[in-house]
Amino acid sequence: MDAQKQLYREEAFELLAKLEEALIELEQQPDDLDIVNRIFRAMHTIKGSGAMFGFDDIASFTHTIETAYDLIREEKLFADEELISLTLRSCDQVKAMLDAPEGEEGTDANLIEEITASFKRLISSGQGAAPGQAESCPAYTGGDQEDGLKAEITYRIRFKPHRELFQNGTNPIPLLNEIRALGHAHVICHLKELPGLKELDPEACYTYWDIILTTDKDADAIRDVFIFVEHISEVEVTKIDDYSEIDHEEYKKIGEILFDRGDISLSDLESILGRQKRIGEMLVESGKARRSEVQSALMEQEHVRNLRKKRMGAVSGDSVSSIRVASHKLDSLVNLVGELVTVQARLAQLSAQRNDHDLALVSEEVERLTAELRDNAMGIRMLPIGTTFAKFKRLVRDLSTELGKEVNFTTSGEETELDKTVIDRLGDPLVHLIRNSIDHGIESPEKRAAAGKPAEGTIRLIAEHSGAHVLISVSDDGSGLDTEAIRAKAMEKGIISPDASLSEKEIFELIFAPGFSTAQSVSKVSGRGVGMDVVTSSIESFGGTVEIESAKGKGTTITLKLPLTLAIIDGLLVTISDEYFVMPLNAVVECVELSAEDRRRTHGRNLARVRDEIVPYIPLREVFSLHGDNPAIEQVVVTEIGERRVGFVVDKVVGQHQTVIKNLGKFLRHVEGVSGATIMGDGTVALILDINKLTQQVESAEKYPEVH
Amino acid sequence: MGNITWQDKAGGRGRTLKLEGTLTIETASELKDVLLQALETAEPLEMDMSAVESVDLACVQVLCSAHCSFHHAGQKMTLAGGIPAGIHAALEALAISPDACDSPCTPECPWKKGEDHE
Repeated sequence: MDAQKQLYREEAFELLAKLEEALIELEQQPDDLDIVNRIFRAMHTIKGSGAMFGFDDIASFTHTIETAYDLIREEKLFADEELISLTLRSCDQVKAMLDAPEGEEGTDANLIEEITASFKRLISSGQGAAPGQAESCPAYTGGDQEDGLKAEITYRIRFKPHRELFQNGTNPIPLLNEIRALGHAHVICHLKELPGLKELDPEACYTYWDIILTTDKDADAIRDVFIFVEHISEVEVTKIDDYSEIDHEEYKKIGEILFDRGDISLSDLESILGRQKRIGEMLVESGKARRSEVQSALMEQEHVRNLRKKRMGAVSGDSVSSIRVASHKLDSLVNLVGELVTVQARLAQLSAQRNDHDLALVSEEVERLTAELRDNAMGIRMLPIGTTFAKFKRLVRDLSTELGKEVNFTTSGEETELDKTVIDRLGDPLVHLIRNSIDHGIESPEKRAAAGKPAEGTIRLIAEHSGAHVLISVSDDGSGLDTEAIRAKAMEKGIISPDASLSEKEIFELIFAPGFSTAQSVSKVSGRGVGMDVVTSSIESFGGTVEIESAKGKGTTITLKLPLTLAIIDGLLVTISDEYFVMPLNAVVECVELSAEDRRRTHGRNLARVRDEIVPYIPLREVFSLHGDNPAIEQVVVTEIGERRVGFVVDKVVGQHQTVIKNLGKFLRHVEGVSGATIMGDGTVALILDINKLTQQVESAEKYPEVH
Repeated sequence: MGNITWQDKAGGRGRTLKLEGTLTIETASELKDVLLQALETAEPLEMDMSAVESVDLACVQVLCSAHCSFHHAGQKMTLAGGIPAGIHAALEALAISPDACDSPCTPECPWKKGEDHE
């Protein structure tokens, strides 16, 4: 597939995602014409570009749907549930058409025919409702003749009535209002010809107007407004901007506008330009132009600039201009930055060894620049999470209909940014969580009514920043987790022993155990015993954690805590024997000393007292079976995992380290407790500790010895 | 129809020029004459437009020109009472605003919205 087609496909998928979101909004607010317009524009773009890039099947299919939405825009057709469901099915079809390999149909022709026929039926009913309209939907001919998105043109109109305007009974107000009704207009009035009271003829018109009008009508339509005063006024209509001007947002300078209008001469402009103030002020001060004229020119400038800015925004899909870059290019950029960080560490080490002042200066400069480059490169990979949220609206709609539940789905924090790789890997876990909330969490409307709850359940998907993490939570106001049922099930499946004493939180966490499912029946949606364990394993695979809170009868909240990025992190470099290890700095709370005496005092129970708080610690030397004797004074790196504090005992804390994360490769991928490796300045390799996994390993070895 | 009358102020402290009703081109000449006479007295002028229902461009021009001439003569022209909605609507439709006016009297412009010109 050539690059252009690929680009079209990507854009079409994005548009379809927006379209689905808009359709679901429309279902809730069927009278909102703004939403209808958004849907229409998206369909229109999919159709138009589809025809341009050779996706003729998509173009002709979407043409019918577009016609239906045009009727909704004209309020001849109502966007009811049937029409919205039909459109959603059409979106699925367009996706299938986009996915089909080139030259193959890949889609069900009968289904397309059925959807098209349903749309045509709706269209003819809509057209029937308004007599005088065309009788059937004209077939798509491949051209783009639609006037739905007529290009808008901006005109400058100078309406300067002669003195005798009032004498034939003309009132300028209706004329100005008629112009305003043609589009988006800015009107400025000039009174500069108004004489003093003594000289004033009270029945003469001394006023004139400049109007900047953006409209889809042509210049003749504007002139028609003034048709009855043509002989007693000057009407100048000049086109100053049209839709073709999308390459730049800049518009003429004030001086140019005034000169164009004939308000100042070229020599006035040139003589003023030699000075250093704002041109408008200078022209007014020097008496070359009047304030009202400059004001009017400024208004024109602002009007057109805003218009172009908006247009550029519409073209790029965002108010900030942006470019589309293949993600592998970004990946290789980040890799290169990673290499650079490693080389910079070598340089820093070298300069420290040489004790050379000049070298140290260069090294520090390189360090600063590298850190900036790193942050920039990582920033480019950040995407707002809202792109993933949009698809869940559709999921909730379809699932709740299928399961006969009423669900109100709300999202917030869509603008929260996360590394692209994290976002890519987040989709499936979130699908599982939301499915579970609808299937197991939210009760049927009857059950809810019996429990005194509103028939409609609520599921909230919230993203927010929290330090170097992003928290994503899925909460529902459903039945909550049943601790007894979970406990019984876990015993039945042999996950816990019958006499295990577990806190409520520990019982909740059992639902993440592999093979666990309490659903009475296996539904199409969930309950197959996979899902929740997939959530934890995939979230933990990229350094995140999963927390669960629940209250019986009130609802459940599952919170995912995710690292902002996966490529380069700030780490704390530590040593044990001669080995280097890196711990993620964002989890580190503090470092305290641990003497042999302290160890003896706790009778080998691996507990340290930190500011009157007992913190359990994990002796890493023993966990990794490293040789050598413990130094007399060791260090405990206290970390925060979820809401708990856990210490890790190391020989020495070296300091902060910019850590470029490298994969361990195929053979070592499944080693638990180590999430990756990094290369140090001197070329040695340091392992990056997965403190979550390490803690879990030690805990389960102590708690559930019967299982392990 | 518009109505232009002089009204004595309470306590005999001068007069107020009271404008009422619909001020159109038919009243414009009369309005000009009354204002011109007031200008020639070299006395400060107080006007009350609160009972004006609507105004057309011809009368707005007379009022603007008068304000400018009073300013030029160093004579005060003030408003007693507010500017009614009918006048605001006409000014808005005509796009008349002190922001785009060149006159030296702009700083004391009676058309400034929401300000007290007493």
